[in-house]
Amino acid sequence: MALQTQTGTSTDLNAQIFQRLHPRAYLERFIKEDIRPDGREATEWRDLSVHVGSISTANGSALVRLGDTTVICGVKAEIAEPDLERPKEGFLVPNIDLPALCGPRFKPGPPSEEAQVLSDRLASTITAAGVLPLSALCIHPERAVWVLYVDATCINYDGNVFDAALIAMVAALKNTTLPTATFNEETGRTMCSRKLRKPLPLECLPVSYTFGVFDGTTVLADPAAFEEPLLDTSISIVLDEGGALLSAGQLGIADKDTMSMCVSAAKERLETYGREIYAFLE
Amino acid sequence: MAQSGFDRRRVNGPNESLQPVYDDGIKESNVLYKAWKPGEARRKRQAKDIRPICARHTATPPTPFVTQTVLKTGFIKQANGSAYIETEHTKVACAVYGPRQSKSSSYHEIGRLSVEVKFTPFSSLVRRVPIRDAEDRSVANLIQQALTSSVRLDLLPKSVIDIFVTVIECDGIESCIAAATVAASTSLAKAGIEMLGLVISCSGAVVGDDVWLDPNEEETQLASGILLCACMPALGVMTNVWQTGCLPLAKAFQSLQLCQERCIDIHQIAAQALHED
Amino acid sequence: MSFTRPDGRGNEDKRPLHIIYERLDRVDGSARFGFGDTKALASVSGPIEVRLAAEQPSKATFDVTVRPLSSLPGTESKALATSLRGLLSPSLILSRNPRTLLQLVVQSLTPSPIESYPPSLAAACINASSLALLNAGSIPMTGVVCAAGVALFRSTTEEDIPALVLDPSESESREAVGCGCFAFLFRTEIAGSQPLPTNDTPGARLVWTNWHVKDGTSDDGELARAQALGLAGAETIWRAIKQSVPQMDNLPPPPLPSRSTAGELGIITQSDEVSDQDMNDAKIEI
Repeated sequence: MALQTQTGTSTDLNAQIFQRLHPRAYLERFIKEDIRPDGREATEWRDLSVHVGSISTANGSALVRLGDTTVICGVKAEIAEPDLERPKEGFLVPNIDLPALCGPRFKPGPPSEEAQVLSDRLASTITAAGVLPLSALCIHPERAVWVLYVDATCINYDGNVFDAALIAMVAALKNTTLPTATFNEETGRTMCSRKLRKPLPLECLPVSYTFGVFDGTTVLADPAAFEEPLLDTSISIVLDEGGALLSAGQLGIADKDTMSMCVSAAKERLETYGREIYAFLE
Repeated sequence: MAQSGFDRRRVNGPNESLQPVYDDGIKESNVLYKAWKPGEARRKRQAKDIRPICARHTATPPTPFVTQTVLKTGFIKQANGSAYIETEHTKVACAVYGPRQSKSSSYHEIGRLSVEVKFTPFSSLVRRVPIRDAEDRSVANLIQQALTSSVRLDLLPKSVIDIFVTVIECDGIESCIAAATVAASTSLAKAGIEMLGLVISCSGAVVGDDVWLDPNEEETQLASGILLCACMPALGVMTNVWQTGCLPLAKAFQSLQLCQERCIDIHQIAAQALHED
Repeated sequence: MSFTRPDGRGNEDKRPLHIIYERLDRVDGSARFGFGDTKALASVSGPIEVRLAAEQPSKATFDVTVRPLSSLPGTESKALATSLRGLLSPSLILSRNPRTLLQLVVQSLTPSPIESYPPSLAAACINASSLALLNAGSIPMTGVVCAAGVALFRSTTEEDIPALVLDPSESESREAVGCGCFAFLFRTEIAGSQPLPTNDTPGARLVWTNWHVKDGTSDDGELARAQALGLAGAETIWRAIKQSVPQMDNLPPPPLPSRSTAGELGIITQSDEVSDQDMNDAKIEI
């Protein structure tokens, strides 16, 4: 394949055109020099910042920035009747939305396939990790339980939304306070007290670390939006604050060694940075 | 409020759920104006004050030092233009993609503006179901009417400019529309699209004999009528007026006048934000 | 570790495998796979005509749909379909048929909870898809993907080593502390593939992992052990598939099993006709 570049004196415009027309070759060139297009090393993570409690209309909220990827999550609490088969359990309904504003390839309308898959992954990760025991949401068995709608919206899409969204959802849950509710047997209604609010009894605070494998060999941590479609394999490791493995997901060909390498890289990242993620004042 | 039916594209909760009811009988929205009587002064602000857009909080204990420049442009790098506006409890993000090729097969000499508004489910006190409803469309229409006259669409045949607005938190729907219009116009300017001027919008509520500018949710409930006005202060022209409720004509014109004056101040802030970025 | 399973199986025993080539009329390939009562049916059509919007100039478009036994397909079906597409793509040479469509429809024949697909059912779907692709024979393949589900039980006593069991049933997956599904691509002559104890199976590489644990440990070896158990299970499945392939076209269409599946489908006649209708409906909707 004949590639036209100007060695040495590539202008910005030529580099941009090359990036658009031959994205794979563009990335290969960077990887050969042991660096990525945004200047990071292969195992380097972007900066993460978490802000909570900025939305007054929600019971709990969090804004997470992972590099340029920005996800905002809000928790709304409502009251419903429990499922007949699970009369003492409340509901936790996580969802993520990728609106058209977050990136040029998203169209307005119902959730795209990517948003649906992300919603499902987030829901299964949060449920399987046991972040919030659903029995804590029970107000009165068989009559009234809390429903927590955890809705995340991506404001800016620059790759690796799964990690950012998981942190946003868990941080928003940690920030949530529920009014104390009492169920009146005679009237069949639930009354809430505005004065007494208590936080949720979270059992586990998971953090996710996503890696991508490019060209079968190079493992890139925290893939950006440009790198994501070029990856052959994507691996996500979810750890809790103690470093225990909660979930391992992988799609695409990978060796056993790659997986264990990713797990240790995730643990390393947790040691250096992970513990302060959820340590914020409420 | 209640989630209706099974949405197969989202994770679903129970079929029906209701907003919590509080024992003190006060609806969650009526906190500031508890036991307010008509004729009393406005709470927390002067009648003619809008909520600050560029707020710098000074360091007085116990609140920590917070500096927020809250009309930010260009925060979505992949979009042609973007802006984020925050005024106390209203937060709106806007992105502009375009000019893009128009999908419709018919030839049109004048470009089109396509505005899409989305409210997040947690943006208001009562949870909004994520499915699009009529309110999204009507808000989008208002913004489009306000902006259409300001953009040089005759220079963009066969093109469409997509404007996407996401309302993260909404405190008073008319003020929210005003903020969204300012954000959209600033994003268009940031995207480098040729315009005749920045469109600035302001809303005013008539409560009793007073006109209160930039009403929040509670004040909107107390008002007898609300006026939303969009104009281009640089050219001194108005692009859109939207009035709801019952207003005596004199009050309507008075609030229009006040809104216009206030728009000139907001215009300065928007121009400065564009300058700085 | 002395752990007894409810149905008396050993930790590494699977339920009896059912491999049936359905021979549906209107599709190119179809097969049914079951671990005991956990069954899935898959059908493959391709290369067929593709609509203009989905056409790709250099390779075939691979479209996967997963349908649960009851209720509408929701986000979990979409997620499993996306995973199937990702894990089956390395086994297919899609560049041989550009500007065409390869359509895979997987129908679960076992009731599952609304929120998720249990690991054995996901494994059955993957195996059924591989069988259907082999049955079709019209898409060049590099290898065969086989999958197995694994569950983890921790003891209440102070035993260090938790029990890993292969092919958990639905109730076992619910009660287990952790469970997951591992899918492997079996193909010959790949550099860096894992050597297997038996000589007649080709090299295997992991293509899909979906492992969740409720209270995790910091033991790194746990995931590796689960993976190894999954590999052992996938390997026996591969051998069973290999054995069934020569007889693919000789077997007569099987009678409908006289157990619960008949009741679910509601009709006790020719199995082909009934599932034919379901398959056609699925195809038209797409």
